[in-house]
Amino acid sequence: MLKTEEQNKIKDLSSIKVMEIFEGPLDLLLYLIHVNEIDIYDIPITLITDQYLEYVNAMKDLNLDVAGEFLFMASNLIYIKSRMLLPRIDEKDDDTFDDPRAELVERLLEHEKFRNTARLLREWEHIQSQYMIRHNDTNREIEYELDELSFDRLVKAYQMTIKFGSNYNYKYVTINTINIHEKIEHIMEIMNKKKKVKFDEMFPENISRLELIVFFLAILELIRKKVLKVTQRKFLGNIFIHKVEKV
Amino acid sequence: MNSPVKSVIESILFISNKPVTLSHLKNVFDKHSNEKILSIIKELQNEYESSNRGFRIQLVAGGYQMTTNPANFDHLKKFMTEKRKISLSLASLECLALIAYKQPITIPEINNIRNVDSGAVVKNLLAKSLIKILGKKKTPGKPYIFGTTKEFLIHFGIDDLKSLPPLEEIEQVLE
Repeated sequence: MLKTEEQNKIKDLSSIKVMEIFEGPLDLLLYLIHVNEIDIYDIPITLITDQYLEYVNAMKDLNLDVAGEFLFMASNLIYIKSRMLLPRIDEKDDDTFDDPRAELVERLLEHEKFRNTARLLREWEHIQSQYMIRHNDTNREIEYELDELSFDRLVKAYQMTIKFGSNYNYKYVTINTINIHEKIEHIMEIMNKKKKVKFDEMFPENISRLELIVFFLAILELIRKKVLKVTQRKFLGNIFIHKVEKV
Repeated sequence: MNSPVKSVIESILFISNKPVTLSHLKNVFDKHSNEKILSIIKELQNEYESSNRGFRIQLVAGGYQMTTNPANFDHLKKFMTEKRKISLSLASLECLALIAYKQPITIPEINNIRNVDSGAVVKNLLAKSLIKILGKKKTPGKPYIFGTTKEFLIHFGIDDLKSLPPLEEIEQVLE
């Protein structure tokens, strides 16, 4: 069991904020291995699992998202523990017995390596931060090289701008909005008169592409509403649009 | 143009805001050999060092950069009005260490080693341009692969990725 002092320490930590103290379950495990002065290659799985679960229980209602990862490791630990308890089936060959802890140990070692590397980087960062350098001034606007320009060129550029401005004929563009409801009304007008129309004859001449699309959409809409229906007698033959007679 | 080479190199290093490579310097002095230029830089370094000047010249990210004398750091900190946050969180550093040593690497691979979701940390490193996207891995989901940048080398004062100590020796380096 944990020494009471350590236990208190852990409980204190858990009441602050878990995420900042232990980056993840592997971090917590390494911490437990460290405070218990355990040989990483021979982890007393029962002890570690108990302590781990104790910690996880203490932090359960702190941060669910973090707890998820921690709980996953908890189940992993319990699984390893259960496998350690089971008698070995294959007793004849001791060498081939694979330690259920092996994978976890490997991951812990890998994790420790990168944690150490992180500490080394932190040291380097600290040293390097004292060697200050010029920084790119990101607030500065892009500057153009103006040293080849002369006053008379500026005057010329100005004159050209004025000339261009006065000679330019502005054209007003009116935006034609084509409304699908208007098209539907238009189609219904035709259909009410004729009952049956050839698809090709449906469209007015000199129709713009946009108008054509809206027209087509209007027809599709009316078919969907079962106001119109379409027939075609033979392959590649004429398509006829009919009005559906209400029963 | 017969200003002494040493003076010119000093000016170039002074004005540049990123490490100046030897080949850049070579473009300026086509008549001088690499050895000559290197020895002049060495001379400048020694001069600054021995007369305790306010500058230092560092070899970083494959180039030379003029920096301040670290002994002046505390005073300079008072001088700088703009406070730049320079230190990264331990989580960021850990992630960065992983990327530096295992590049090219994907986020799922990072998560797998760290046992913690690292997406946010990677995004942060990307925003700081300490890492970059190298491409996409040709595995299901086509995850992005990441690698470190020149800014990474500059931030930590590393000359070359090859000069990182082997992972196995890091514990000794720390001691």
